Amino acid sequence: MSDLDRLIHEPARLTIVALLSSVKEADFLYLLRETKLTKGNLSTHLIRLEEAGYVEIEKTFRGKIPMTLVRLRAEGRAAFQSYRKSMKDILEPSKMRRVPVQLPT
Amino acid sequence: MEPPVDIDQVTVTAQRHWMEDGLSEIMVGLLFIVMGGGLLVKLALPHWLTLDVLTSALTAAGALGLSWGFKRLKQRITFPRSGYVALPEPTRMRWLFMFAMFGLVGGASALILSAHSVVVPAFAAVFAAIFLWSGIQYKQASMLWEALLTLIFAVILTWSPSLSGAVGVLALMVMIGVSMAVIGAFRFRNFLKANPRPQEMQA
Repeated sequence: MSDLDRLIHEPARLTIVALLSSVKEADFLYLLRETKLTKGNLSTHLIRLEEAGYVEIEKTFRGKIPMTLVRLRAEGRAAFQSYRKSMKDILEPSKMRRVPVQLPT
Repeated sequence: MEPPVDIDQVTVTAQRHWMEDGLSEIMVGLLFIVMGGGLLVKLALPHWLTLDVLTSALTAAGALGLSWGFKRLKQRITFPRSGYVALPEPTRMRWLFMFAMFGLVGGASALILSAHSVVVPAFAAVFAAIFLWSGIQYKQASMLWEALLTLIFAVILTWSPSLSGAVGVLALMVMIGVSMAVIGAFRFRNFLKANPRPQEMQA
């Protein structure tokens, strides 16, 4: 449990990182829609992920409309993979554990 | 202890997002109509080199035009409403897998075409299997309908003696194309109703 990255383990941030792990880049609207967070909450989580060096945020324009593009950085991808592996390690031994049953003689 | 979110479900969201507006279905449907229709016209016309080249060029231009139109519509209609997402470039292994699949499908098609009597049902089974797999993989009910419609079209074409062999397969392609385009158009209309164009969005 101590191996888990607490920054990623938080449900909202885990959803954001999982969403970004399967795409090249996504905009703020896509993340807003898929995470069902409020604009403020999503911004806060993205800033925390950016501060940790997990995501890269680029402010650009689509025509005259401002657009915020978000990409998962190599550090973020590595952290996500490590998190998944840690989670798998935690879950698998519990699946494999067998309880010895004492049969009546 | 479980992960706080279903990671496997979240990671297929991007592929689902690409298909939710119905534009992909419309595009693939129109592509089937252009390709199947183009080849049907080619079969019906006399085999002159100029006509062959002309129909092939028109079919290729139609396919390229559809691809261009699809990208434009995505940029102008879908992305401002439901967000922009770029799927990752395929890896070398994925390219190899796709080439192997094309080779297999090509080889299977040649084999099926050589056995004249089972042509339409065999192609229909392949198309229906692809639709079924896509429907289950990306949780798209419309794909399951496509699979069912494909089998119904196959039954109709098998009972129609004038549409056998290669002509039957091309007719099947056109019929599948029309059904995909119609279903896609309904889904596109629903997408527009459910996703009005929002105001400016930024972090």
